[in-house]
Amino acid sequence: MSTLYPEARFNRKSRVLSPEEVAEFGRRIDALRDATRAKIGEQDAKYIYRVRNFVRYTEIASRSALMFGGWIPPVWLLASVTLGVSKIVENMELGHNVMHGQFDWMNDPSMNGANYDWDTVCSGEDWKHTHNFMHHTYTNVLGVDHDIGYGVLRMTDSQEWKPRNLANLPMAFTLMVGFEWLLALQNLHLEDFLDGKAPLTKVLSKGGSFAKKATRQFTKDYVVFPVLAGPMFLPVLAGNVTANLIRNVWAFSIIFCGHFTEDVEMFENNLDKETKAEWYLRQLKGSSNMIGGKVFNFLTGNLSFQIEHHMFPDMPANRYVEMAPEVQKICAEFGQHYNTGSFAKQMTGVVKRIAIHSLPNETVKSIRTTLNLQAEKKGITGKVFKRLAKAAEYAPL
Amino acid sequence: MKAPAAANCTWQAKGNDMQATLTSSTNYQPAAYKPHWVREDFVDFVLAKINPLWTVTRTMARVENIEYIEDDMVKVTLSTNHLLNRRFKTFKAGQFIMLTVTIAGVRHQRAYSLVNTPENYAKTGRLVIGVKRQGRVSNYLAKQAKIGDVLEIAPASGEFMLTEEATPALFISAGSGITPIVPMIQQALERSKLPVTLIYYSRDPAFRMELETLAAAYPQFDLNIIVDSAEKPAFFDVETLERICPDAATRETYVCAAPGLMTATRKIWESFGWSDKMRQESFLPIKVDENAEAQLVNFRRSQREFEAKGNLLASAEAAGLTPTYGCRMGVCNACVCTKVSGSVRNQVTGEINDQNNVQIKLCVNAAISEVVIDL
Repeated sequence: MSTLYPEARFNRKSRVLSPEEVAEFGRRIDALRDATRAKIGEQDAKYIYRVRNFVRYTEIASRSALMFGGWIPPVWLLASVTLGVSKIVENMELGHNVMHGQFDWMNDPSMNGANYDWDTVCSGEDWKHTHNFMHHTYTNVLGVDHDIGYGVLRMTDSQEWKPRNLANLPMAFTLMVGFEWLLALQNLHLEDFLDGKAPLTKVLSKGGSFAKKATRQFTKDYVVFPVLAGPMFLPVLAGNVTANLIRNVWAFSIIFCGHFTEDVEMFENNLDKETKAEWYLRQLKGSSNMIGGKVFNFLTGNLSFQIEHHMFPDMPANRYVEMAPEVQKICAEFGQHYNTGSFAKQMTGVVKRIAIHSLPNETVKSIRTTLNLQAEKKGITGKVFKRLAKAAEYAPL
Repeated sequence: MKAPAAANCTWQAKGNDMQATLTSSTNYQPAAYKPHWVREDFVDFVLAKINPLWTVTRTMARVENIEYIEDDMVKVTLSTNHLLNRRFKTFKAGQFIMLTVTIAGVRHQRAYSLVNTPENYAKTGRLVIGVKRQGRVSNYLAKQAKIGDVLEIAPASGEFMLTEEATPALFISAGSGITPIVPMIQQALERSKLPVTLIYYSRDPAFRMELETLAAAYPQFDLNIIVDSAEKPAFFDVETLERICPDAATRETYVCAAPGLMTATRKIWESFGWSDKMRQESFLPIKVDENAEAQLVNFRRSQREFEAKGNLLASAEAAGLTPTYGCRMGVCNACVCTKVSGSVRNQVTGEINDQNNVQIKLCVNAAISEVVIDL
């Protein structure tokens, strides 16, 4: 490992492994994958059909409630939230996982990764390129994995600072609110136009499926369903807007917690000679898990097991919960940091990362020095600055 | 002389019968991206709550009866709701349907010959298939399927059928190869008074009662059931032919049996120069040669054939094809495509996949038999 990546790029919390140890680590992970794969069958098929039925029933129930009782505030609220939950599950536990091909073995065309298209603006085919291919192959590799900042955010000190990065936090907020739209546009690399690297026509030439899918999604949620509701036009429209918003905020939060917490590492493009075992290690270091209960795991589409998802992207996601303790055990044996924590802890790390990288590295360093100096003062001022200095501590910088 | 069961076998019929079936039954993806307004499986889900036979584009059939006809043969009767379900219109005697069953969460598709005649179907709305109890799907149909189950079927296909013009006919069959022949004989007898001869080798003859009833009703039907055994196997040769059907030269001959009998008859007909008067259909088990270096791979939609040595994606590229790919290591799912037929070995897991119509990843699979891919 150390021969391929400069040691400094690895988190200080993990031991540097010898090439033999790296290979052994890979074998152990492979063995776990094979053992789990052998168990996959009827139970998993039943699970994904249950998830699909959950999505269908909640969608039918919430849309009917909005249409017929949307003027009653508590009904409106409950229906909008239920529709939001329905969209979250369709997006994350059903769509995302099916499109990874996790259920291709069932041989059911409606559960097939190549055909599936989900209920969000990003077209299935664009998603399979930007996410399944670019993001999962080049996880956290700067300049290749476009998910690092989605072209608009500065997420690591290795990215060159630009004045527009001062708006890192408000930019992240915008990304959160309009997440499905920005994901849909991701394949276009609009920032190339903003940075003057490509003409607008070239950027837009890849937007064919975006236009089609966006029209469909917009028409469906904001025209067809409200119009069908007749006098209930406004409550239905507002309910659909709210549901999409809920889903966007949730999806953004879970996805950012999966890759941009404090301990997550970024990599240089140095992948030519990477072995499968090294690929596993990069997935481990580039992802972070969240601890939560059954409902939480379900609502995250099991992306609370982001590490397992990245090591085994085509394994049915309902299996991650039983694989996670095994992966964690193997990591402990090899002295590798297994990045996990509560949703609150991981989210704090994400916000910190976004905030700190809105400033140039030098500025952050000098602020930190100043704070440390001030912290040495006695009395209440010193205590306050000690707190501030602690908050400004940030692992990768 | 025993034909392997229909299950676990590929259909190797004349022409491109598999193609006809598959285009209509699997998910053909148009080149241009077109998002759907309403998911078809959602509509099917709602419709199925009203009547399980109602669907948008799929064809469903209900199991009406499962009946043992011989020790290892089962007759399954299916109703297609044919008044409402216009997708399954009719079929020709000798054709087969593709039947899909879900076993342990996995959908399996197999071909089964129809053993009743189209006339009978038009009258009753019932399809009857002959199932030899051997292999996963056939065993499931024989042992676990229940009356009332609803299964997906694909419209009939296959080019093994009677000639347009009525002619004197000779049928040669062995084992479960009898299934497509039963309705063909019935149709041949019903449509003209010309002679029909059947030579049928079996250790445990199926449809004996049906055939004997036909022989009693139609004097022009010469029925020859040759019951052999493992100790005393019977073989077809020129002598047998001359003894049973001396005027074979004047007849249209239809053969459905295991490869041995198929080759034997083909050679005899070739030697007499009668090849153009013979139609064959066989159930061939997939031949897997694991040591084979190169295998013939056919990309059906692009109509390209190439030799693959090892990895399918790399071989396709070496042959100048450009299938979609991503990670080249089996994780991103970009190169997934439908394997129509043939066997492949997953180079990551070592698993061998010999099923028809399943999804495979080009980047981690190697062909170990001839393979047809829907690309």
